[in-house]
Amino acid sequence: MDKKNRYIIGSSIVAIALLTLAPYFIPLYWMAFLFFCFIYLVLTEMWVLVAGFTGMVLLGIGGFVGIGAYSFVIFSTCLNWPLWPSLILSGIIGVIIALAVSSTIFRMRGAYFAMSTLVIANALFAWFSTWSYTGGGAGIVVNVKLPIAIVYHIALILAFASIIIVTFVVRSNLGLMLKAIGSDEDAALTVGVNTYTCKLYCFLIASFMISLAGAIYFLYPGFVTPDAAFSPIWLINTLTAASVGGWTNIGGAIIGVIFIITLQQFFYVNYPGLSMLINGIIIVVIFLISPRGLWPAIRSLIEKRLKRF
Amino acid sequence: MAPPEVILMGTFTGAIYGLIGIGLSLIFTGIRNMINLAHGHLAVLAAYLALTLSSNSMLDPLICALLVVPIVFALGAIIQYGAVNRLIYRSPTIPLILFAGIASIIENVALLVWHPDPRSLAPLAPYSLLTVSLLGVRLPLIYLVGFLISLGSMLILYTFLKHTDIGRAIRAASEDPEYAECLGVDTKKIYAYTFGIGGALAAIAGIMVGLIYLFVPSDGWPYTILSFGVIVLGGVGSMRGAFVGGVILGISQQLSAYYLGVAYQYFVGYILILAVLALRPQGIFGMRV
Repeated sequence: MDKKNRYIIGSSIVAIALLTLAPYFIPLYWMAFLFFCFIYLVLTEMWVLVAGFTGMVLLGIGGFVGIGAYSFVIFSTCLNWPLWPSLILSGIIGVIIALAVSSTIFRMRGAYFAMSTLVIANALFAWFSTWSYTGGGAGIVVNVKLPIAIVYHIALILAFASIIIVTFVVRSNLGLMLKAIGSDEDAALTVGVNTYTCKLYCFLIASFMISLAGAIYFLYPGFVTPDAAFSPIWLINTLTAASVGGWTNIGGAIIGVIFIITLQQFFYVNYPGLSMLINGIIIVVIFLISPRGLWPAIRSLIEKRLKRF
Repeated sequence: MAPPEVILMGTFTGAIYGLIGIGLSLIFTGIRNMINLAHGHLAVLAAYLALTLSSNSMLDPLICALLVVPIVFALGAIIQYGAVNRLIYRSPTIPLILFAGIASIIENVALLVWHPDPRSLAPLAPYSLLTVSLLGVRLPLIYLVGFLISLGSMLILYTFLKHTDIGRAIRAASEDPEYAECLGVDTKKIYAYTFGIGGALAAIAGIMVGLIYLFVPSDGWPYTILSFGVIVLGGVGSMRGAFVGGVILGISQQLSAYYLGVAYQYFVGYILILAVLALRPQGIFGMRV
């Protein structure tokens, strides 16, 4: 183990210890801030895995957030099941939906694939807007009473797990194949990569984690509406976080997420839409100046400066 | 048997969907298989611009369209020439992210300027209350106007693509961009024209839909998906197919609104799109993907 790795592991142990103990000494506002960060960190890490490394542009990210949230509400509130089975099952429902649509959407590539995931997300949105069982467009109350600190810790575990999963997948054999698919799918197929299975594994991991994140997120407001659960805001925020942090940068995602949540909280009091407007501008500007992301560009700039001395 | 007026209204609104779908299809085939994710947002933006212009000048929304459509054309051309042209050579999915950003900008500017409550262009058009009798059924005149304007726009586009130099260059660049460049076509400029025209078609359709239905800033997303559905159903690159695809979507929406309730019309439309993607991805009439 070299010095750099030891440094990273040491600092992340300290960070995790601090974050675990945080609910006992920081105010509620900052706990909510960190909670939002954890949820978006899961989404952004999954985006990095699915879109950044594998090249599958998953525009329907809000669809999985929503399906996770609604499955959780159905299991925990409508059917009155205990917390943990409901949580795990909501992730599994996301996987089942992903499995069901995979044979259709994996036949397509590029923009068609991306658009079909968006159609699926919107079909789910349209369905839950009308389904009276879950309250239709008016939404439904999540009847789970949990201390905020517990919700915070669940989100922390999920965020940490998502970083670990993405790191290990990317370093594994599967990750190598996914990267090959990301740079040229036909070439990967030619050299014997089973592109369908690899993409499927990657897609299923992402759908599980994103659905789980959706289920956990709605424990905090305690109320699910189709507009909030399937909102395009999930997509735009994740895209902004990923473009700030770098498309294939696992650590950069943390910086991107902190950035978007700060922006969101800063404008939330006055005008929530303004942060989305700024997010849009940031996506466009970053794409024009540095398509691989802002943080990698800044880092290489700093490294170049340091070398000069 | 459904009442014939439901079918007729579906056909007429479907023609408008066909128009917005042709815009998306033109951009897709014309500019390296790129999907304009902000397509519906351009349509909604046009409806809002027509609303502001019409309520300030007391002119008819359709007359304001004569000013709004060139504005959206210019906006589209600027987006393509200034931003997207730099990215399209890498992969067709990269512009999607850029367009997601542009969609978010348009949606939230509309939220800031025009507020989230539903608006309509109908109160500004006195003829929107009139009805006409057609094939033995009475239906609002505005549907017929929308249908005729959509058909007219398609005919103009067809003539333009067939018989003008820019139209020929657009077709050449969509067939084979490298070869077109060899023959002296400035593809970057042609892409800007293509995107502008596609956006202008979306703008016309947006104003038509705004005359018939209510609209809110977030309507851009369903419009984009419906126009994608039009090219899924009709097949890419075929104007006749897009028209038929639009009509199928329009009729299916009106029928589901009639039988199941208005709330289900989007759901049925999306399921139809997904079913076609699953069973026949080249489209009902399409030859190639």
